[in-house]
Amino acid sequence: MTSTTPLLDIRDLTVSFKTDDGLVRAVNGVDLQMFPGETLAVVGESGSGKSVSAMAVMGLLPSYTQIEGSVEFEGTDLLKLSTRAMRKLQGNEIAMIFQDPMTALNPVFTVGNQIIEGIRIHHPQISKQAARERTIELLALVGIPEPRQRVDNYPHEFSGGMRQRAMIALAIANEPKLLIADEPTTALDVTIQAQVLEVMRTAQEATGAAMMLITHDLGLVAGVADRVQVMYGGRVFEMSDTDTIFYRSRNPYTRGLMTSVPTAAARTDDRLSPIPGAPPSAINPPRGCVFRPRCQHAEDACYEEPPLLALDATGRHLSRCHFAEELPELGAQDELGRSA
Amino acid sequence: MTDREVTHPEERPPGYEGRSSTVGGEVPETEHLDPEHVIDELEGIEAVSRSFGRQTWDRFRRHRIALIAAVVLFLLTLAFVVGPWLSPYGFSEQDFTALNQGPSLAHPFGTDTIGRDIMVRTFQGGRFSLRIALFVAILTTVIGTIVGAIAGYFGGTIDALLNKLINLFLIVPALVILLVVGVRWGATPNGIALLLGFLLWPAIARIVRGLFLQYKEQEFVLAARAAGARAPRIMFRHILPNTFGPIVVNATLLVGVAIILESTLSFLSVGVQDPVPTLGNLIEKAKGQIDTKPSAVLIPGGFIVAITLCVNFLGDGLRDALDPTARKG
Repeated sequence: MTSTTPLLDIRDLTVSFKTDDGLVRAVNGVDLQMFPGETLAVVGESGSGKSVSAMAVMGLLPSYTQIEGSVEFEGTDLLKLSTRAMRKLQGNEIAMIFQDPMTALNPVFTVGNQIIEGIRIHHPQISKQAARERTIELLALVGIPEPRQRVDNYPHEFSGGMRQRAMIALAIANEPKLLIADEPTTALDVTIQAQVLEVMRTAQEATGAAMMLITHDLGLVAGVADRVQVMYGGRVFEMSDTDTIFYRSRNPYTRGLMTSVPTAAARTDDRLSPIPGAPPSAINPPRGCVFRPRCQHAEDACYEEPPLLALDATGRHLSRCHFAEELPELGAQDELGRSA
Repeated sequence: MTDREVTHPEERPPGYEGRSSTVGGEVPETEHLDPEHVIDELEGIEAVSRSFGRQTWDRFRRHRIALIAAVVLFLLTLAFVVGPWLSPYGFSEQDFTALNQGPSLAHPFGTDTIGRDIMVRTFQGGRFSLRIALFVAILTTVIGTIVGAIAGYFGGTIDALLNKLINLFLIVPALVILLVVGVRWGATPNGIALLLGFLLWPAIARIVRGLFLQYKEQEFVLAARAAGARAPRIMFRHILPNTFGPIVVNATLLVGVAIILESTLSFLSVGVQDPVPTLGNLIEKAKGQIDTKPSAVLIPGGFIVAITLCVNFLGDGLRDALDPTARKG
């Protein structure tokens, strides 16, 4: 695909949870590569397996989870690492930004102390004072006003947007090579979302980290991602560079995602076309293609045989659909992909 | 994606170098250090508690009843510690010229039937009662918190086993055990404290377990794990401070429970034995005189009520003061 060796190379990742109702297969044979410094958006609706995949990379899945496949980070399979070895990577080489900044910061410690702790867990030789100075710089970098005073504030003294900025500061404190942001703007006001994305981009530039942006909001993806990976029912449905996904999508699910998003550019008499039905059961997935029950292009073949994730002629566009090449050109839908 | 400029670690943007160097220029990028080392570093914890301590004090000061309770409790403790030492009488010293007297100048609380000064006995008794109570509160809180934290945080089989143990202790009636032990071996203040501590911890353990079950699902715990923190660090540094409020309140409730249980034992004549006074056995000794000389019952009884009330108010104030999200008054 590219000459650079991937920073993160997930191969055939399968994650299952045992429940009383049966085995829940949250992630089903996912492949994912990330290259140094790039931004990959992982898009899908609830239950598509995007967050669970990220948790697998972070080593945050509960111990009763069954994980198969491999997650190689700089050539080391993270799934085979001991908890102890994993801890040295967590928050250091791989860091995570969580969805809800209201609950992701500990209410009884000052914001500063949480970032200082994050630094000193991995670098105990850095003095408390130096770590504090570094924390103030980080807070300034993510756009917290008066960082020297704010460093001693408790999380409840911060607004939602400021807390997410603080979370970003915490995540980049040790200059990770990989940043995983799990729905980082979902819990924020729309007006703050763009600012936080901008901060994330600044943070990424300052550290040179690769960023995995997990979201269900395609509009968010357009402005920031280099590549987009669309997931559905625990599987990868489409993967290519951002423009290709937006203008030349070869997958009915991706197209459905785009037409179900309202845009400011749309005329008032335009109707949104939501994807009918609900996401598939992870216990008893439908026969054939998992998207078949909701797909307007579905034919008999989709019932008989699950489609494979296949490359198109350019060799840079993967799509999981029997009719990837036969789908009509997007044309009229162009504008529906919001540009940020 | 092939033609995209990829930023290699060696050729990161200029801002990167600049920022690193201000941290002493020695931020190791590849060197991994054992995260556990930091736990032993008490410097960081001090920094937390200093500003946290000041804010806690500011909030506590505004809780007027708790502040009064703290002052009263301090004065009582002072009286219990200094009183017997300043008193001209020893607590088992008899004065046969002054048997069973009411309050007077020489004996402000009066004397008992064998001529001992009730004031010095009350202070000495308060000293023993308070010591037992504090010992019990500390012991139960420590055992209960550790057991509850482990059960709640790890869950699964560990939780199931510890929960069985907690329930086993909960169904054992403390008073019966105390009676049996008291009758068979006799009771000393330390013995009673130890026994009460081992009998009363499940109350705290259950509360802490519940709190840990609740807090371990919070995203900040996940965030701490994602930052590479070890389980003990997450349990005791991240979750435990969130549970201080309920733990402190219950510890103070246990102070009251311990004083009353000890008094009950003494009242049933199997507690700490004469001549060693406790607030409980002072009442027991005087119970026959409630009509003729009520002061002998009311004074130690009043001390029990005062201590228990003060400790509970203090707990209330501490709970509010220890919660940084409480209003800043």
